[in-house]
Amino acid sequence: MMPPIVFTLLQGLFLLLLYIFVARAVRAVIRDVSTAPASNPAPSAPRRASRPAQPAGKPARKGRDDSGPKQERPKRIAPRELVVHSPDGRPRVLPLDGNEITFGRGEQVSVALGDPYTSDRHARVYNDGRRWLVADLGSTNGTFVNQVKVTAPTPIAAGDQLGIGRTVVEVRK
Amino acid sequence: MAKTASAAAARRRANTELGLMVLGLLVVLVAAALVELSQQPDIPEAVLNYGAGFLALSVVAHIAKRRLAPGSDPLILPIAVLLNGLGLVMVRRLDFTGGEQALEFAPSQTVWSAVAVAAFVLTLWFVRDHTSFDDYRYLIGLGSLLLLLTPLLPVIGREINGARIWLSIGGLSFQPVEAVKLGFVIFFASYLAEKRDVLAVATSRLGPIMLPPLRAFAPLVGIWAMGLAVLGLQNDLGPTLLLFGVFIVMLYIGTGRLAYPVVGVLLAAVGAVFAYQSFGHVQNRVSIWLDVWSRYDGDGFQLAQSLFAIGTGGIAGVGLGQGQPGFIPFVRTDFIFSAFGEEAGLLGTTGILLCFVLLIGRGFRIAMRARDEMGALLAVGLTTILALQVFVIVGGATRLIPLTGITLPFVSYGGSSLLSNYVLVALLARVSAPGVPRHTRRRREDDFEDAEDERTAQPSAAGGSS
Repeated sequence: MMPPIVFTLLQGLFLLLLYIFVARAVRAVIRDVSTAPASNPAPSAPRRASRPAQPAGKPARKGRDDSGPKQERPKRIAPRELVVHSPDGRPRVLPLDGNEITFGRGEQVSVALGDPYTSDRHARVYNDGRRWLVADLGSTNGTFVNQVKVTAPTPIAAGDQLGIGRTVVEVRK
Repeated sequence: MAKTASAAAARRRANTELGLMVLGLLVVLVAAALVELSQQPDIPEAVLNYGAGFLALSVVAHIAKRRLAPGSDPLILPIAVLLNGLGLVMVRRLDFTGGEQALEFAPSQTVWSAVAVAAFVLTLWFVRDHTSFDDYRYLIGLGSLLLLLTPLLPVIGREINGARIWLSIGGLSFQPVEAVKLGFVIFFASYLAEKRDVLAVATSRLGPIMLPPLRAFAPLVGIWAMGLAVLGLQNDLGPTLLLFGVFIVMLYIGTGRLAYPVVGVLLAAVGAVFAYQSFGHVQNRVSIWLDVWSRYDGDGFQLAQSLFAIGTGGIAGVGLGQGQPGFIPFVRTDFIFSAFGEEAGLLGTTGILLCFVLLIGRGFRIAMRARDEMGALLAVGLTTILALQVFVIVGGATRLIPLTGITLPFVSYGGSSLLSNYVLVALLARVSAPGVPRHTRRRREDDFEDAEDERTAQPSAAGGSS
């Protein structure tokens, strides 16, 4: 028979390797989450955009490192219309003509989205007299402006992208 | 350009999988060496052959997944292989409790692993697109129902240990419920993806809960009644618990109506009271659960031995191959977790549970990122099956809940269970794969291409002006 110490060492090695496996698996999960397109809770909103607001630049892949100091867009152009890109179906153009627009899956909204990732009353776009803002209406999955979650009414400008569930709403001038 | 980018991403995922696979096999190797060396000075040649066979199987599974489902989830297969390997090592270790260096159950479990991996590959091969199940929806549903009832047939049905859930044909025993659970999930997923709008309409309100019309509850009540009937006829709680639980979860995820789980749990409670009063073995299970110690040498022997084993293991376990897990009746199937509790301790069992947590977490993530509702519901259902099984059997073995005999997925001894769980992982892999270029997929692929551009546009816009 082998000396007992060999068994103790092997048992330790077994447990250690088991946890290294778990750690590596967790690392793979984290890497996957941070590089995946669906890194925010509006799962595949960006991947559904069939017309990106900004033309492609060169890849700067690491989602995390480049956030840096947030740059204001050079010029905030007042929005005139919204283009709703549903996950399935044709894009819809909505003029911003002074009336409030509400988005959601329910029936009491001005724009009904057939998108399972939206709430009954999800978000609204309105004018406070000076500018256009977007506000979340207590939705489950949140509302996003350029992939940043909205926590308070947020001004929008032409070129912005609103994420509502899987639906992408493009803001145009 | 997008094509090569997605190919590169797929390769990266496959390499992640390979790395994890190698590590997982290393864990199994060390565990196996420890078990063998603790029992005998030399490792028998047969064991080496079986080990090499298992190694070959994992390589085959990896290559097949790489080829047939490029870009699919890189974690689920390595975790399945690790759990399968650890289970195999423990089954082999328990063979030593039967007598002198006996190879009793391990060879057949290795053969079943081979069959299971073959089924894994074949599933990936035949199911190129999970929505193709839509065409056979009712066939699958009806077939599953009939299959569930086959153990009641006179000649081929078998009653083993009081439960009539076995099918025995030509010496081969099989638990049809293992195939049925996959069939039902496929049927539910396909059915709900189409009917969820109808089932989600709320017409009345009860406090904070919106109630769908009464007839929308018909499928729920139907499955419930069927579950109870099966429970009564087959004398086994496991299938009922599993199928009804999965159904409630899928109904809730599909419709988002809280009314379904609430009504489902109420129905389950009614069913539980009914089952408790009409079936002696259910009463027995509950009373053992409530007070195991006053009857530890009687009908509580099994559970008491399980608790003794886990307690003996302590933090780091007594060492693989060095405990006495053979005292627990049915240790290979229902109580294999307790054997790990004794020999690998809290650390080992926690590691195993973490693997399950990762596997289940990946399953739900696959569901969230599925391309279509059918895929999302399928992934949710399959993952819920795994989660329920782990919870029910680990909870039962640790006396958290009354014991229901169910296998611990991938780990327990049992061919039909292993087979169906590998098919389950293959289906998860299929849902997670970016998809095959079919005519319906063409448009989506273009979307992916845009997504690549889109994603990279944001950072460079922010960084460019600095």
